[in-house]
Amino acid sequence: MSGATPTPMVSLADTVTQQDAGVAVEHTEAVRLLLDGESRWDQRLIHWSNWLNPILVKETRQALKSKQFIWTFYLLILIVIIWTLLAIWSSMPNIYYESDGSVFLTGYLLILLIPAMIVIPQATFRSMASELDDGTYETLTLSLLRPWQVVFGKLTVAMLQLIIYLSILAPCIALTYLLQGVTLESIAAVLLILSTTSIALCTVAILLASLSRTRTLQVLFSVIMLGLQLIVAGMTLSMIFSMLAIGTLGNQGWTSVGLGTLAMAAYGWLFMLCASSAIGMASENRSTPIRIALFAIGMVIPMCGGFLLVFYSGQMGASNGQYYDYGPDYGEMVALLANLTCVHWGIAGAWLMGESGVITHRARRTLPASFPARLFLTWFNPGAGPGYFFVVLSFIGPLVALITIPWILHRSMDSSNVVMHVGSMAYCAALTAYLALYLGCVRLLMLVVFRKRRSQRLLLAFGSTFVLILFSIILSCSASLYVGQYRDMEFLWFCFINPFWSLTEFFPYSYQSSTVGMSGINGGEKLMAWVWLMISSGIVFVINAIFASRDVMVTRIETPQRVLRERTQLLPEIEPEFDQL
Amino acid sequence: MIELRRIHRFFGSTKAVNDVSFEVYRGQVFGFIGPNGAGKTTSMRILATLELPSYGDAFVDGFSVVNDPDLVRRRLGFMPDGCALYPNMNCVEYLDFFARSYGLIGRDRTDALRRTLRFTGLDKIAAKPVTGLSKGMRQRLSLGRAMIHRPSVLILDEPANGLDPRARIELRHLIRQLAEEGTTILVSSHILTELAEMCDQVGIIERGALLAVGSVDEIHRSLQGALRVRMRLVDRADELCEFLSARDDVFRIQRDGLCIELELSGGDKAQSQLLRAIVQAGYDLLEFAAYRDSLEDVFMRITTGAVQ
Repeated sequence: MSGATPTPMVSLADTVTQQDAGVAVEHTEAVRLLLDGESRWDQRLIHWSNWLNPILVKETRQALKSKQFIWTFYLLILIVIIWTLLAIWSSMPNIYYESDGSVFLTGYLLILLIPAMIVIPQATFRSMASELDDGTYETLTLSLLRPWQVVFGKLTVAMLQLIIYLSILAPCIALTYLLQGVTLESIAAVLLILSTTSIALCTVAILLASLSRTRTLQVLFSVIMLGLQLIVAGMTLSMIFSMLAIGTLGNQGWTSVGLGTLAMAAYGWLFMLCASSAIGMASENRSTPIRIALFAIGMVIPMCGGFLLVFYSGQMGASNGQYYDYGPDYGEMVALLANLTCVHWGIAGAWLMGESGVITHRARRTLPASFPARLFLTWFNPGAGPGYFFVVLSFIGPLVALITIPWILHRSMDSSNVVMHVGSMAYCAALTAYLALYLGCVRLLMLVVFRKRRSQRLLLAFGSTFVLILFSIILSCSASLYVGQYRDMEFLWFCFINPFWSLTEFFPYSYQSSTVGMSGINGGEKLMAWVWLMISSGIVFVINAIFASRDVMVTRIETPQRVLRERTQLLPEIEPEFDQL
Repeated sequence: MIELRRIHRFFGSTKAVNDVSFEVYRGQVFGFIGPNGAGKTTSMRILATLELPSYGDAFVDGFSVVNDPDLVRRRLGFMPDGCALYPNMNCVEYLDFFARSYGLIGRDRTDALRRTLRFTGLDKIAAKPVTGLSKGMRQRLSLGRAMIHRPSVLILDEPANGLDPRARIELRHLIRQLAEEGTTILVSSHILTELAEMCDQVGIIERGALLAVGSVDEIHRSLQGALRVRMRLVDRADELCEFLSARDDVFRIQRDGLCIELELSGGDKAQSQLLRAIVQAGYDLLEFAAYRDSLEDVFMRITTGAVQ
């Protein structure tokens, strides 16, 4: 440790004179046990714990003494025993010749659902929120723990708790398999779903807790968290029941489970990054890692979608005697994927528009320096200006690929498919235009109206986007009603400001319409609305480009030699200890 | 070494810290004095990298708190006013967690823990739950946490709060001992007599602005005429008052019977010249004593008691 100074050995110790010798010996023994251990195994465990995340060590120690954990642990064992005895008693004597495994498993999963979906995420939320609330996080900040170590430490504690609860149920689940009626595949799938959903909920809990800096926000997020937990628990339960009813998942089932797990892992990672940014050093470049994660997820969604598209269309085509049959479904799938990607970038963009344009010296040390790096990576720089272009361009890229690649690959394109692809392209263009229009407006709003606002900018930008869209919906509906003399509400050209209504009208395929081309942008008011949308978003885009010119001109500054030297000296000492989750 | 360079911190229209600059050298103890809400804690929090300044910068061993807070934190121990503790932990577990958080492993960690427990006197109550500790014991634990990684700079915000008189005296000795061993210490306290005894320098802050900085003597000298002289005569006190009022270096003369108190500008030389002049003028003196203002007097004279 640099800057070390020898510390005196005797001082305040002498003031604790009232302690009798027996108590003092007891405490000294406690210190010896904790530091040195009693047996060789203790010493080994203490030695191995050096490489564990300190948060994990601390929280495990706390949990083992906390009433909440002890109560949940023993209560779970008790309920499991009661349910097992009850189920055996009710199944007798049929249990000897009937396959009752699924009944037993359903009960165990219902029992596990409460700690996995309610107790663990709530405990994680409280644990993180209390760090901020009680002021203990400040003392943590002063240590050498990095923010991501803190948040991942909290997550590993949640995972550890889940493992403990699962281990309680492990013998019972083995029993269900012996009783027959459930396959190993089903058991694996339901446990995978339950575990990943629980961990995903914990990542949300950590993110919300890290954002709740005030009492009001803490209460609000606590309620949101509880609501989310109940909804997700309900959804997971119905999913598990349907899976158990089906029995075997098959390829489609496993693909869906795999993609769902991948999505939860990806967004979980993103949430953890956001949480560590929220509690990180203010002068740090906290935006770029989040953007990289957003970009990766923004690429993964269309890729996975594309995979599903080929997978399902292949199956569908195979049944029709053709393998690649890009019929109307393709356009619909592209539009649906575009919608998903748009939601991803819309929500991400709404937060990014709140970023301050001020880049600290520390952050400027990390900016790209060379010409090619500046050309391609400037959009990853902190600030709402580069953020706006980052969102819009990242949205367009995969969409273009999604539309053009299969079109190029497709060899026998008939006229109906061509119409469909034009419809898809127009729809995707409308989505891009909405993204550019609304995020652009929010960015301008933040730049002009909330320029001096320093705190809670991200929440403000997110709220502004929500209010702006709500306002446009109300305005368009009111105007349409007025034109229709309060009897009809038809889609007219000015309704382009309402994204949901317009996108429904622009959607290139409809189940009601058997003729391709009847739905989508087929002239008249819809075309007018589409054109107006393109013009207005173009104007907003250009205005933002002008304002963003200052942000993209920010260049890298060199890290002082003394700082580099210090970091190089410290690196071998620190990295092995802290490269741990 | 600590350096604050034109630090500003605004909370809306409130200027919590307004253009504060000072330096504390290696092995010095710097006392930060000011009324409640003066900006002491905010300045300390900026120095501890817990808050960013609105303008200006602070440096610890030459590293900026704004640009290199990670390097600053390696060298710094901060004991905030009020110790936030984790439930379901005992003293040794609490300190063990922070030792781990500072990257101490193996023998280094156990040595650091033993040293800190003994140093703070917590070794005899090491297995006691932290939530059951008295305020004084919590302060010790907080101090132990701040110094477990042997920082070169120690920032102590009201460290004597809640300590009994004996512990206070020992804390004072501890701080001096740490300073003599090379630790730079910034300490704030409301108990000015304590600060006067242990600090090499003091800074007086009010309404976010640093009003005076330097040793108590330097501040005293900068407040012109702050050398107080008290004399007692055999007789002719009235005449002496008239005699003294004619001099340029004497002011604020107060008479109480045969006792006279006055303020004299200048240093020791002015004092001896005044004594010589009085004796040469034929006045019979029984007592002649000069003394400096205490830190409390200086504080009261400099500050107005205004809050923002």
